[in-house]
Amino acid sequence: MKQHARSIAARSKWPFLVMFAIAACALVFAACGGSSSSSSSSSEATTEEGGEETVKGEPIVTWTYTDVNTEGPQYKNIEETERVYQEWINTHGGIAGRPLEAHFCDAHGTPTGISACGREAVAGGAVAVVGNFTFTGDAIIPILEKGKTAQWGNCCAIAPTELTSKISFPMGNQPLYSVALVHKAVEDGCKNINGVIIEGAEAFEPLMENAAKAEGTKIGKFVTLPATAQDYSPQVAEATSGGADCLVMVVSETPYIAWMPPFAQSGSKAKMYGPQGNFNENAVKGFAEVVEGDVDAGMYPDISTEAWTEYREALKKYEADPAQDYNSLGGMGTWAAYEGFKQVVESMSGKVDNETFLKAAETAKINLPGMVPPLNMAENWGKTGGPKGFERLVNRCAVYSEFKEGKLVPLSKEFEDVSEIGGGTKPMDCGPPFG
Amino acid sequence: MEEVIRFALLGLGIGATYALASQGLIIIYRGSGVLNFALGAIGMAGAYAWWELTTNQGWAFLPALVAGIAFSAIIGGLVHLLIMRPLRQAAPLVRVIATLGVLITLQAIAILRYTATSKFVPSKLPTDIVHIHNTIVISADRLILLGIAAGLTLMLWVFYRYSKFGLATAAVSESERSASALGLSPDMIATLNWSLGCGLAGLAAILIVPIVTLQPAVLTNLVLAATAAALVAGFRSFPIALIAGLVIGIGQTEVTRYVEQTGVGTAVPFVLIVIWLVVRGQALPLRDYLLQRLPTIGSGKINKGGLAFGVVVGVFLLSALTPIWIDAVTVTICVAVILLSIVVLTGYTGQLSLAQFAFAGFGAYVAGRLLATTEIPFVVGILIGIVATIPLGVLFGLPAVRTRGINLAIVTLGLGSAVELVLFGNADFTGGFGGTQIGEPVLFGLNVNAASHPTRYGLMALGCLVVVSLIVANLRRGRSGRRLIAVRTNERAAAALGISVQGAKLYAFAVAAAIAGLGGILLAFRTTSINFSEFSAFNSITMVAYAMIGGIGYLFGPVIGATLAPGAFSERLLNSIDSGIGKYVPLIGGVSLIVLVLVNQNGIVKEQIAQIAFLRSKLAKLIPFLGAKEPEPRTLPAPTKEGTVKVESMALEVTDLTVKYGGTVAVDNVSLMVKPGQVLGLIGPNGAGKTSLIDAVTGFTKMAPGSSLKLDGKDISGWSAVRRARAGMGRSFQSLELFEDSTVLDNLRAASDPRDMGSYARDLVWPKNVPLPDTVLSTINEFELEEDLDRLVEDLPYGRRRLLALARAVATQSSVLLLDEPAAGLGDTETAELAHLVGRLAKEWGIAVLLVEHDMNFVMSVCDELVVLDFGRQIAAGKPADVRNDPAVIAAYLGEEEDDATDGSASGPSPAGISGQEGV
Repeated sequence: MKQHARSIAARSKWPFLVMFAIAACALVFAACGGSSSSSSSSSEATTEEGGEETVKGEPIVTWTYTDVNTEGPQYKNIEETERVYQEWINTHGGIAGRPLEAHFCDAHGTPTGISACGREAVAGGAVAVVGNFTFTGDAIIPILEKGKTAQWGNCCAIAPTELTSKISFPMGNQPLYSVALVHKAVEDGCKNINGVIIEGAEAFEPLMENAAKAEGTKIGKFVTLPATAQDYSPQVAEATSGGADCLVMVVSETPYIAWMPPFAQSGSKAKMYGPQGNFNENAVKGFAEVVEGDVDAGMYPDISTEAWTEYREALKKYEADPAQDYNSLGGMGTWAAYEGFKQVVESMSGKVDNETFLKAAETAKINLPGMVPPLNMAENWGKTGGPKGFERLVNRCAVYSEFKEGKLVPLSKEFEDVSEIGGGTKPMDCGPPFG
Repeated sequence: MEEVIRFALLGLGIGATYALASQGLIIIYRGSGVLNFALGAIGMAGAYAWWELTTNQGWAFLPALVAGIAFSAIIGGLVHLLIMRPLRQAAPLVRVIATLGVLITLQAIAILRYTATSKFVPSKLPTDIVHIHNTIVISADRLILLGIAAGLTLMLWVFYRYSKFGLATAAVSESERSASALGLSPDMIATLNWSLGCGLAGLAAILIVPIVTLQPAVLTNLVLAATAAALVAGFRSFPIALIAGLVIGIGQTEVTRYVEQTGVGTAVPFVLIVIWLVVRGQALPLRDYLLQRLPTIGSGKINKGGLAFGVVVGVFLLSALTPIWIDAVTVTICVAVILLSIVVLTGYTGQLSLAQFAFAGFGAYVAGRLLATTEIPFVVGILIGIVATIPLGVLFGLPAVRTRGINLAIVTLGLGSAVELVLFGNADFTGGFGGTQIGEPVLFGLNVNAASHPTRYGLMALGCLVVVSLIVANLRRGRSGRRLIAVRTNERAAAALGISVQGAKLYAFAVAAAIAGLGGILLAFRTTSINFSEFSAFNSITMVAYAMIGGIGYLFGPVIGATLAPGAFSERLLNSIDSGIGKYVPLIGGVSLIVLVLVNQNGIVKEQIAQIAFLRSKLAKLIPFLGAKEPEPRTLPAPTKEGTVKVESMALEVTDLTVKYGGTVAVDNVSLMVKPGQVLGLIGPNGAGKTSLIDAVTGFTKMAPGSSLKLDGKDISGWSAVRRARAGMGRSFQSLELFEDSTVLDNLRAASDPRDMGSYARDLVWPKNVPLPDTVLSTINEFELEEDLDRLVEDLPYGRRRLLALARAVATQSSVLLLDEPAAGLGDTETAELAHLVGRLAKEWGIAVLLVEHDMNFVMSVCDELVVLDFGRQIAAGKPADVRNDPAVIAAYLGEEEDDATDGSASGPSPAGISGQEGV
């Protein structure tokens, strides 16, 4: 009886043993193919690399956060850019002669994750959090406010508090690129414009409608695209119905990938206008003919332009992950953010910490020709009569690219102001031509 | 009109994908009785395998297709063999959670290996445009997909209808035991069906990815819509699932086209699920409804020392740790509050709801919008948010009246999804671009903003957790708790005791919604700008998983389960060891869930209780005061009145009672009358209609028109079972149907508790037990149950359980008792004692007793009159002596029994009586 009971017990252990074995194999299988992403804490750069002398001394500490290990959109290009910038700047004189110690925090796409990043940054003595992006920015702003730590240089403020909080200093123009899209569509002669908006981004619609009105036209209809990728044939049919000749789209990259096949199959000749970094080469892969001449509006000139030469060199030299897209809001935005941060720090005298940086940022003037228009943080939209809810926006200038044989090529040779059509305020100085 | 047709055609493509996915669900359900939430993930694995082979290994399309399908099939087979097979006796909840563990694990592996980034996959099917008429066009690949779905449906229909395997599957789904007796292996059939269903999911995924892109959630997102189609098909019919899938696809497309409201179109399948299930549901489960045991539940007793210790630890952690850790502890506490709602709803009431996170989000939504748009104080906003969730809970609970088990889970998940799609994801309702900004929360003059004062916020949350725990404990110990547990354990028995099953369920949903609403508010208000995207429908499933892991029936279970939530204590702990571990947390979570479900379905807390008890017993030898205290002997009060308890006199009059099941007449125009103090025996061969008659009289089966039922002269023909029970009609069941998880005393209390509505509110604060009525005290004496009062029913020997079943029926203080084979399975001595007891109930207590029995000695010794049924018709009635000599009766039933009685041998119940099997 005991023997029998033992053998039953032994048999019943079999499924667990096999399962543990399978779980172990799964871990190995997943690890083998997966990229090695790590929330790497950068250490002080003190050793020589490749013959170039690295800067020594008390480091300037920053934090950069974004979502990498998440089931939602991932922005490893931001993490990589932060890494290569640190390596590059520390072999090119540092920041105000001091090495940069840039930490990266993975927010995992959740409010609790981003809160933890904020607390880490404040506890870690960050001078500022630089060049970040997440959809759940609202969860970090209060923490940074309490910690008197600036959120500097975001390309794409998306949470309401990122556009209103006194510690937020975005350098990008989100959400005004949607206004720029409408403006370009009208300028190109579109007569029958429909809007396509990803679920959750409906708040862009009033801005676009106001822009259309300011341009003397209107958006025919808005079609909402479900956020989860699915068969978008019905949405394509609806958006292209009624003879629409142009589609102005606020859609992120993943839905774009699912949008392209039914759009191509529909045979529609409507011209698409989409946001930089989302309506990109990856999204339209395999549909070069379909998107020929279609337009991107964004905030940063194409990475091929001269202003990004050092960025391109740094990506190559420090072996950035080639699978990532750096000709994007995340990649260029983070580089530009760090360059802007450098300018602010180098304009300061005395102690550099979170509080002194915050004070300096409030009146900082950023001059990065060809990357961003001249930015005067003291003249944000809140101070210049802009609409409520967008007080912290400084950059109200846009640039355009277009698709040629499946590749994005720059259209703009200068930044173009959209303050007037976006919010009815006087234009800002978008600086000299850069191309 | 052209536009309508055009969009209908477009919907066909989507519908075909739903239909393909639903066929896989049906195959698995038919073969094993399991709703496989992981079907989409298993299909996804096959799609990735196919993509890997074609893109990275250069394989041709067809061989890679076969390999991808085989990969999914193998995973399906392994999942069944290693996980579902060991869980075949487990409750539906447990099996659902197991499939969730598989889903989480597979998706985590895919993300680790391939990232979550979507990959464009060129279609191998032709994509030319087919012009049907003017602007009505459709691409060729959608038509081909439709053709594949239709072709597969036909093949499956033929295969399962005419092949040996198909017939074997049908046999197993009807009755595993009978199928085994015929030499079929249910395990083998289930495994093969799992493989086939998952292989089909692999095929669906591979065909679909050129349309929806290749990403880890490629098919998981379709599962809900596919479930809707499978539900409409009753998880049986492949052709109906195809049509349902197409209708859902067309419905979604048309609604999306013509209704501008965000999310409404996507919500179409969920609305369909709800309507379908509610319309086709049953208010009470049928006689043969399998009552699978849910995980065990605790007693609700508060260990004051333990509670004090827990509070001290909580306060210490929230005061001493750094803000990052405080936030992790706070998240744990907030999620624990939400999980307590699951203890009430699923643990205590047995309602498998997958909408708790929707309630949580709704509470946060109402409170958040109020605080963002008005000047009301923080506390008032929270209270309103909590109260506002109650009607939503009741609304979600309405389908629970007519559905149960896995169907209810799907309904609630669907409703929660609809709330998420239409409300949380809609900028028009959540504050537009400005969002929902609640400002700095102030509680009694103190700023409790979590960002600036994390300790204060954490303490506030801890206070809420303690209060809610006490409320839930009170509920458990009170009358309301007994009602909920009665409904949880056995709805039919609960109704027979006069417990309003509907009322209990709605109450549970209301309370659970309010608790979840509070939890949602606490979770969301950690930031001053509310993010509603975290309250997604699928998170409701993971919440149930956490509750299960901790212990879904125990007050402390939520605290343990909550440590596993994203951002909670466990994740913080792992990240503090190595921040790179973070990316493995979902994988670790998925595997842990599967293992825990296999090893311990009752949760960690139950194990802890056992271990602590063991430890105490060992330590007590060294330190005596640590030992468990001996419970004080229970002393029952004496009855308030001397002498025998008499019930209110009522007669039961049944006239022309007919019961039909479809075309079969189970009871045919039977009339009888049971007078106070009388025992009327109802006898007949197996299948005569005796139990059907009892079911009809007590309201568990519908009577055909023309039947009449009067109790004490009042016509009660149209009354519900609960109302009849409350009017004075009690019954026992052939299969006992006791509340196994409860003590003997709780069973009796459940029967005798007053049915006032006030106790629902009072018990939350002050669960006061009314003194036991004299009837119950007398019953305890009469049935000699004093020594067993604190024992669990499941620990009693069979004979005592039989007695308890009768005692419980008597404890309802009924004037009329209908006893269905009370002596089944008893030996001669016990039967004789029982007969004596029944006689006394009638003669001394004045109860009118209708007795169904097969034991003729019992019948003859105690019955005053007899009615004999055969094939549903009354063939004789009168005194026992007259009836036993009636030739028709002898011919139909009594002949062999008479021979046995003449021989003097004990005539126990017939084999049919022992098994409890009764035909119509």
